[in-house]
Amino acid sequence: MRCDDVQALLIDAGAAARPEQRREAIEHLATCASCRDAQYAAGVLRAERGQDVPPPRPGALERAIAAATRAAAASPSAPSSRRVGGFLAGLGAGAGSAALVAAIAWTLAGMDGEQAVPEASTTPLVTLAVNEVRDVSISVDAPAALRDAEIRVVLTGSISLGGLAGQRELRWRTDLDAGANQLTLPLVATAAAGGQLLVEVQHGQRRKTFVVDVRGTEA
Amino acid sequence: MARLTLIQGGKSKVERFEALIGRHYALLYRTAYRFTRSVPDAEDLVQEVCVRAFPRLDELERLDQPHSWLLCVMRRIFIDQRRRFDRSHVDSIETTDPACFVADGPGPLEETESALWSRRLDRAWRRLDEDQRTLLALHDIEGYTLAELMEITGLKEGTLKSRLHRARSRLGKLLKQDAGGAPLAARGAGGE
Repeated sequence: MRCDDVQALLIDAGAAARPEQRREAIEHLATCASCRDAQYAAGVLRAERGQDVPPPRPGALERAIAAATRAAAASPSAPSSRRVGGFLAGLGAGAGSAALVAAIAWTLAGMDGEQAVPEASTTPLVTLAVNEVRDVSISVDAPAALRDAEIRVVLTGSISLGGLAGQRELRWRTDLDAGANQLTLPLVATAAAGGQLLVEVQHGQRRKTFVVDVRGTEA
Repeated sequence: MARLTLIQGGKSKVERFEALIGRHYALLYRTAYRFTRSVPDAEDLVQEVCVRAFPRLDELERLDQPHSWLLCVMRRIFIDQRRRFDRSHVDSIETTDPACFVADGPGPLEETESALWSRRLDRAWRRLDEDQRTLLALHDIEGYTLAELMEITGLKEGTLKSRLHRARSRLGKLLKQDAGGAPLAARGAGGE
């Protein structure tokens, strides 16, 4: 009988082992020091199973969550511009994502010539806890499929994108489906003053630009 | 004319992450403590798991058993960062819980025996390699079956049985050496 089988019989199977198998395993124990050591340790660990674990220190869970979100905001390898582009391309699944903090429905119907940035009174406002990554989704409603549109995202003030700290502008080309196309950006307010997020879509000579105000709140 | 509307709704990624980790934190912390046998190290280990898990939240939410993935990641981090979780843990009197000095539990003799025993197990435990610690903690202490362990570790059943045997055998030998050959019957260590 092999040592592994003895372990399986005496430790894992326990009472479920057949009497003759059990007898054979016990005979093996008498001649095998390694199995006797293992049997001894198994008994120690069984006793350990009933021992309580000391509780974590207060706030341990909150510290772990905060570390995870901070790391996501600071990591240079977290969501890349390619991923943002990939997410946008062909999405059209509607704006019902559970991750939404804010969705900006933006219709491109009648898009002709350069559009002015909306008046201050119509600029949507997103409020974020300072240094917390929140997903902000922008839904771009295209009246027809637009091939090779250029998307440009510009950040001003004390805001940044999670995983792209320090990068103030992103620009990439993608196809827009007819209907809703969703762009989700992991946004971070790095100070209470916040800033502005500018999203621009250009197709051929036509361009639309929209601005979102972002404010931070101290936790 | 372009239409621009702001719609509030849904939970933020952080809120979703808090909900997911909140459901599994007790399990993660307890397992991390079994691996490390130290409160600060267990907290650090769970924190590392959270750092790895947060960017994968969407995938995790789609899993039926996210705890298997979380334990798999925890095991890998623990094995990869062995030095970090291999610190010496000598408590100073300042960091000892004052409740330990209140005479409302085991008597001084039992307390001393228990503490001595615990330190012996700590010493032997730290001399196991990380892979051995994780397998023994998950299987022999936490009670995961071989099938569950196969899912968490990605190892085959035969490999697991063999590694478990070697780990138990080594731990048993270390404990016996530390005790000068005396058995630890008081803690239910039978089999001899």
